[in-house]
Amino acid sequence: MMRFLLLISCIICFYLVPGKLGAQPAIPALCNTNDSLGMYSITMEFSKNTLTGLLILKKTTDSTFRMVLNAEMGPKLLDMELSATGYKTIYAFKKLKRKRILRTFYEDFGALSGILIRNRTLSIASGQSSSVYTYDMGKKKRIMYNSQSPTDKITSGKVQDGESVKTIFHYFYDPATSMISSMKLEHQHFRMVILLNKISL
Amino acid sequence: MEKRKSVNSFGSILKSGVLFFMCINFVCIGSVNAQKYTPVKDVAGFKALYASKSNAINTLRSDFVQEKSISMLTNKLTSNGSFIFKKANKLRMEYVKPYPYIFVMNEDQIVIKNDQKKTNVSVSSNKMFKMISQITIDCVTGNILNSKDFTVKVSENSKVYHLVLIPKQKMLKSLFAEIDLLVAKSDFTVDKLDLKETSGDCTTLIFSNKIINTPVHDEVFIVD
Repeated sequence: MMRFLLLISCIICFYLVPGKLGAQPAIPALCNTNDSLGMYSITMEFSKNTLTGLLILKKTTDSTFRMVLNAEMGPKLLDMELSATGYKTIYAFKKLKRKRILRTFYEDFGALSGILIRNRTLSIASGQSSSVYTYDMGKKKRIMYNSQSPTDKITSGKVQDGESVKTIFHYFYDPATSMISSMKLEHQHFRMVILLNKISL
Repeated sequence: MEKRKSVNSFGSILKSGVLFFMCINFVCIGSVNAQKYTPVKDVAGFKALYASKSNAINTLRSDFVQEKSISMLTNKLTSNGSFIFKKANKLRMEYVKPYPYIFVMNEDQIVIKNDQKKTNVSVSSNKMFKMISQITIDCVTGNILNSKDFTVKVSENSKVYHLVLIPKQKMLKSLFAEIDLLVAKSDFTVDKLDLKETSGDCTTLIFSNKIINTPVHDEVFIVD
C-alpha cells in the first residue's frame, strides 16, 4: 500500500514539475566539456564606440560561471561569477563598478549561457520547422530560445519584458564539429552589440 | 541617458587599457636576463643616456611573445606576433597566434582589426587618449623616466637596466600596481616588459629578433 502511494505521488510530482528534463532545450555550451573553459574574442559596439578584447568563461560548478574580460594586450578589466540567483563581482576596474554595467553583463551572458533559466517555468510552442522555448522570469519578463528542425539546435533567442523585446541573440555553429563557433547579442533599446568568436588555443 | 553614459565610459576604459599597454612598448627586444640588480647610482646620467639612445632609434622591428597570467587559469595564455615602430608616433603590433589581431597607431589615429571587424579610434577625441599619447611620446624620447605619472626606480646588472615604474596618476594607479622594464645595455631597447596589475594578474612581453633603423614604409601603418 505504501509503495503504491509512493509511486502515485512520484507520478503526480513528475507531471507537476514544469519543463521536465526531457523537454528542456539544449542551450549551447559556451565552455568546452574537457576543461570547462571557453575563450572568445569579443567585440562590443556601443554608442559610437567599438571595443575589442578577450573573454574567458569558466564553468566553476554546475550552476555557476566565472567570466573574465581582458583587454587583448593589457589588463584585466572585469571578473565576475554568474549564477541563476545573481552575480558576484570578483574584480572590476574602478570605473566599471557600476551596477548598471555589471547588471547588463550579467543579464546578457546569463541569457546566452542559459544560466538564468534554471528552475524557471518552461512552456513550449512547437511548429513544423521550429520550436520556441519560453521561460517565465517573473515580473512579465521572459527569455525565449528558438530551435530549428531538423537539428533542433538552439539558433537564436530573445529577452522580452512584457511585449517589448530587450535583447536578441544568435548562435552560430561550426558545421565540422557541430559546436558553437560564434554568437551575436544585440540590445534593442540602446546601441549595444556583442560579437563573440570562439578561440581555440 | 545615464545608462549610455556608463556604457561610453566603459568604452574609454577598455580602449585605454589596450592602448596603455601598446604605448609603453616602443623600444624593444633582446634576451631576458634574470640576474640580481644593483641600484644605479647616477640616475640623472642614466636618464640622459637613455633619452639620447632612444632618440637615435628611428625605426624598430621585432618579434614578441606575450604571456598572460590570469588567476582563474592554471596555465598562462601565450600569444606571439610582430612589432614595428617608426618615429615619431607610428606603431604596429600584429598578433599571429592564437588568433589574428592587429593594433596600429598612426600619429593620432588608432586602428584595431580582429577576426570580426576593423575599428578606427581617434586619439585626440578622448582625454584619456591624450594622456596615453603623452606616455607614448615620452617612451620614444626616453622622457618616460621624467614622467610625472610614475615613480621610477632604476637598477642594473651587467647586461640590462631594470626599470620599475610605479603609477602615480589616478587612472593608471587603478589598473597597474607596477610596470617593470628590462632595457638592454647594448642598444637601449626593451627586452622584457611586465605589466603587473592591481588585480594580481600579469602580462609579460618578451621581445626578440630586433632590427633597428631599417627602412619602414608608411604603408605598414595602414590597415586594410
